[in-house]
Amino acid sequence: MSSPKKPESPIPEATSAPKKTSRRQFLKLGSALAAAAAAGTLSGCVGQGSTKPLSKADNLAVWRSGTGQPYKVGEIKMPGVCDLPGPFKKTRFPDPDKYKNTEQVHGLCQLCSSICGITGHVKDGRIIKVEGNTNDPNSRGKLCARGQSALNHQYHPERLLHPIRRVGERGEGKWKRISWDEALTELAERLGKVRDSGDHEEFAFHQGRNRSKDAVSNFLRAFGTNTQLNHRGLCSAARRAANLTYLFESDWDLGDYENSKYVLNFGSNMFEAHQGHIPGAVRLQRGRFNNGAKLVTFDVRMSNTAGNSDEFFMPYPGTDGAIALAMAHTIIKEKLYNAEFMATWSNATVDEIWEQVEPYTPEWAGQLSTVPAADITRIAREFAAAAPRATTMCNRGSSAHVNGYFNDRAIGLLNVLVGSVGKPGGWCWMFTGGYDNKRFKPPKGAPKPKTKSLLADPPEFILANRWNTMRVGEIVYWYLAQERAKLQVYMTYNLDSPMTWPEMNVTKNVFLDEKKINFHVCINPFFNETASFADMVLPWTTYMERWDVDARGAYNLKPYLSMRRPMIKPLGEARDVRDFFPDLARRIGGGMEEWYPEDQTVEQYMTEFTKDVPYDADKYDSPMDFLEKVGAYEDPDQAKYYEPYLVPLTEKQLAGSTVDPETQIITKDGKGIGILQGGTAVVGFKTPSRKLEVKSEFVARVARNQDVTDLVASANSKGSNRPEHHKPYNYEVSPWPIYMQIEEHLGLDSDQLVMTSFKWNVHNHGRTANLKWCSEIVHSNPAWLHPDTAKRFELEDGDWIEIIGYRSKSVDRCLPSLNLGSGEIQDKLQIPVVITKGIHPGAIAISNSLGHFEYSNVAQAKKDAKLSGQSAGMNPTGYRDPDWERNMWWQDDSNGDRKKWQRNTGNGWAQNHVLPISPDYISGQQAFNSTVVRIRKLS
Amino acid sequence: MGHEALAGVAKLFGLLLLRELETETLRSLSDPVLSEILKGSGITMPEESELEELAADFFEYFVNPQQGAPLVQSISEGGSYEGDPARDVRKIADAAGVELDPTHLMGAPVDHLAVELALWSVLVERDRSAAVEFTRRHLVWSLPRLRDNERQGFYGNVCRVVADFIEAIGKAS
Repeated sequence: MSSPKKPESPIPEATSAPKKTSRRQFLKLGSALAAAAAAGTLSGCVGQGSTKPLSKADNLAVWRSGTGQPYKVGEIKMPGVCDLPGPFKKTRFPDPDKYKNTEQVHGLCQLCSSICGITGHVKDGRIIKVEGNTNDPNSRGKLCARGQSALNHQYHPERLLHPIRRVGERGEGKWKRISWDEALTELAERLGKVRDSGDHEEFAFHQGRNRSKDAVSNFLRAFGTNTQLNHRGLCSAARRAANLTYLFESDWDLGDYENSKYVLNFGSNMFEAHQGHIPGAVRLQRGRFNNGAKLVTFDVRMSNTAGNSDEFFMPYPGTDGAIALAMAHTIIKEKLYNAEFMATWSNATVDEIWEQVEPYTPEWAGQLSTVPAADITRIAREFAAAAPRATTMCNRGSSAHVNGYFNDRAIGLLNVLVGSVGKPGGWCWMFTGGYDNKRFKPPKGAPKPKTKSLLADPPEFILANRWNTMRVGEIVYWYLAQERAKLQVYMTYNLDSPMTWPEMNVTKNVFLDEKKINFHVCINPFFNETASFADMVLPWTTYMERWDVDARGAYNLKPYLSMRRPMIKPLGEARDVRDFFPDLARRIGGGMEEWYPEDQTVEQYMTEFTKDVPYDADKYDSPMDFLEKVGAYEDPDQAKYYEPYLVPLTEKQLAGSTVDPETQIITKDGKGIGILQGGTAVVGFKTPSRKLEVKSEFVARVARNQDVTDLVASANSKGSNRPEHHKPYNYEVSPWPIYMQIEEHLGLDSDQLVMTSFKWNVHNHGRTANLKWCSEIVHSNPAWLHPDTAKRFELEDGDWIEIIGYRSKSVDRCLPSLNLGSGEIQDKLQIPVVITKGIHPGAIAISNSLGHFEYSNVAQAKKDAKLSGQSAGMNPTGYRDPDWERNMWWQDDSNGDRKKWQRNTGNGWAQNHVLPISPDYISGQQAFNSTVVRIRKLS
Repeated sequence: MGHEALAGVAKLFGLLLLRELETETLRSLSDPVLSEILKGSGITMPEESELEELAADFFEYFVNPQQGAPLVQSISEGGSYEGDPARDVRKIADAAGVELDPTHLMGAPVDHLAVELALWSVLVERDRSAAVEFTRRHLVWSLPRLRDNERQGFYGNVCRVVADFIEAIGKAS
């Protein structure tokens, strides 16, 4: 017999309340409180003193109109989350009215480095959708999965909303909330002490990705430190150095893929990652569909780019340069080069280059790389035949190696030989990697200090800071560990180095050592791994809550300018550096405050910044109005940056100049301004020879710490001598594109492989695993092994291995002063394998991005939000996300028992446990893809 | 008088859940009469020397983002900030003429339980039926969160008593 059903109460019954407080007691308490309030002893409650005079609000009908509509079936309940279509929703799914009456605010994405234009749809003060801004000239309205997950980022239930200060030991995880006033007061006091000590460089600002360059630079310059650290060494240092060697003018190649007929790709994964990801991929596909451009990829692993290429070859890791040099060999041997271009614009003759590349035969390269010699030869011929509408494309696949600089020098040589440099459809670049900062200048800021920073310009690395400040991020913690530097105040910004830097163990130990880092303040929108080792964490705004003027390398080959603007007010107490740096500077004082006008708002600063942006006065009120309504500016009258070296010098420019009879270089006031070619005075390349520098005397001389003042003067663009503190570190570096054998890859034991790294199309290196839409797609990253390799180790799909990583013999030999050695690194990694033909048999591939131990439940693949260790589940004690609870299926419940582990569950593994600190001595590039590892099967 | 008294209680609870206990507030609440009544209600006021430790508890129980601690309706019901509850609370406050001044809120989202209790305290003095509806829509959600028996000490007691309070005003309706 069933008992009569009790009427449903909206109040859930308490399960274990020992004794409840009664209404009578509450009334008694209320009376006592009223008395206390009347006596003025209790104040400050929310709402007190905050009501505004009631007028219409007193009208009950008006009041009730604001109580919101009852929740309805089919109503969109949360921004960005559509309920699954149910029986009553079929005709309204997706809701056609969802975006009616929304305000559209343009901005810029920042979930990877491509900085695509975005448009936020704002309704009721909330962003309900983010999509690509079709006005953005670079990304053209396209947006990747990361960018589409903007709402996961913006409204994440685990966003950090308040400043916090540790109250326990560093790393212990014990915190308290503090006010911004308390935070800034303490910071000002600590930074003031650094200034007082005279060791300004012991205040380091360490950025992961910084798109507020003007604001950060101004603060650091006003403070007087040059210790601004970045992740360039872990990103693109070798490629940039190779480009700069040829061009001096720019470190960033922008292949004109859209107009190309042939794209020769060495290890770039443009369809999934790459700094130019979406803008580049859009044009590459247009080139393929519209021009029939052929895409040929060489990559150790079958990336999405490789898999979608017309031809794909899997070379042995680090042999891209050998293949490129063998192609150069073929092009010269078969006289497929552009003789006229070479005679005019190469600083080395074909004969001189032949002398260098003659030994690099396709057969030799075939042996090294395992790519058939016949294919190398054929592709060289095809590439030359397609020129000048032919370009190479490369990135970390070729450059993130111990020999990465030379790999990319060799690849660049191919464009020189076939004469596609600067040509439509060829290998191009721009005079700026962002907006034209000579035309649109940020408001005047503090001058650059002259103090030396060992961490920012480590002396062992030849080219890391010779043209641009590229720095060598991966040695920062090693320098601190070796006590070559120390920090009084360390400010991290949008950085997750414990997850993204090599040798997590080194990073953690340095973070925990208060003698090495006396005080660490972390600025981030989330409590990530870096925050967990900090002393203070400041809640940062998202890219949808802040201002910036920004742009990236322009694939239209003419500069543009975009604006990031707040779509909504910051959540909680989040603040941007533009907002609180002025306040902090004023508190520090000592002259810093002079660089921050007291009465200037961030919006006023931006107005001044963009005052010279042209706009149509018939349509817009001002540059800011134009940027607000359009989002980006590109000069319609500016020509594409094709063949800039052919631009003639004007009579005015030539007045008072002289021509060197031997080199034909035109100089004025001791500085190169152009070159005489065929009787015409043109700008030429902005290099010492005013030609493409196939042979680089500059590199050879700076490597020896010799004076390069004359070369720099002739280039009259970039370049500098190595400073005094570099003097003990001299090297002999070939001025030519050569092949540099990675020593540790020779004579490997049978249980050793070369480990490579890669990114997914839904993740960046360390900041997207908390996005549930992205992590649903990729959350697990077993190691990739070729079937032949697996057979050798008697491994089957899903088996587990242990990986031991080794430091680099090449790095140890070239950089003995680092004391890295070439032995095992401390941590080991246990990881399952996936067996696929999409990886070279001599390699093992593990992605980055995953394996977080902080950074939200999503990043850790925990289905239940937990409070105080108690599982939430259906009896929620933490936040509840029905979308997560319904769709999160990949939680790993094996509790560390490998036998119970189910494929594709868990949050993955952090490769950097076994990734050695491995900087290339030339550029400072971290050799992500050169690591020798030893593997063994786990039972 | 009953509603005014309850409004005062809601304001106090809002204050206790909004920010860490400070010396001034502690001294006010340590008035012998008041503290005795609070004790009778289940809340024993701590000593001033405990405030630092209590601030760490406050962080752990009500701020720590990784623990999903903030008592915010949108994240408790929908898993992201600025959900429909936030929109509705904003509309209600606007219609009631209550300014949700960010300075007073200390960065708390408008649908933080502390803010909702404060808003309820305004509503209950103006329109009881609206306060009843508000309780149902914007206070009851917090009961499972408040009843979490893992919270200990002063804030554990505060949570249990606030839960009792919401239950009491809900049932009275």
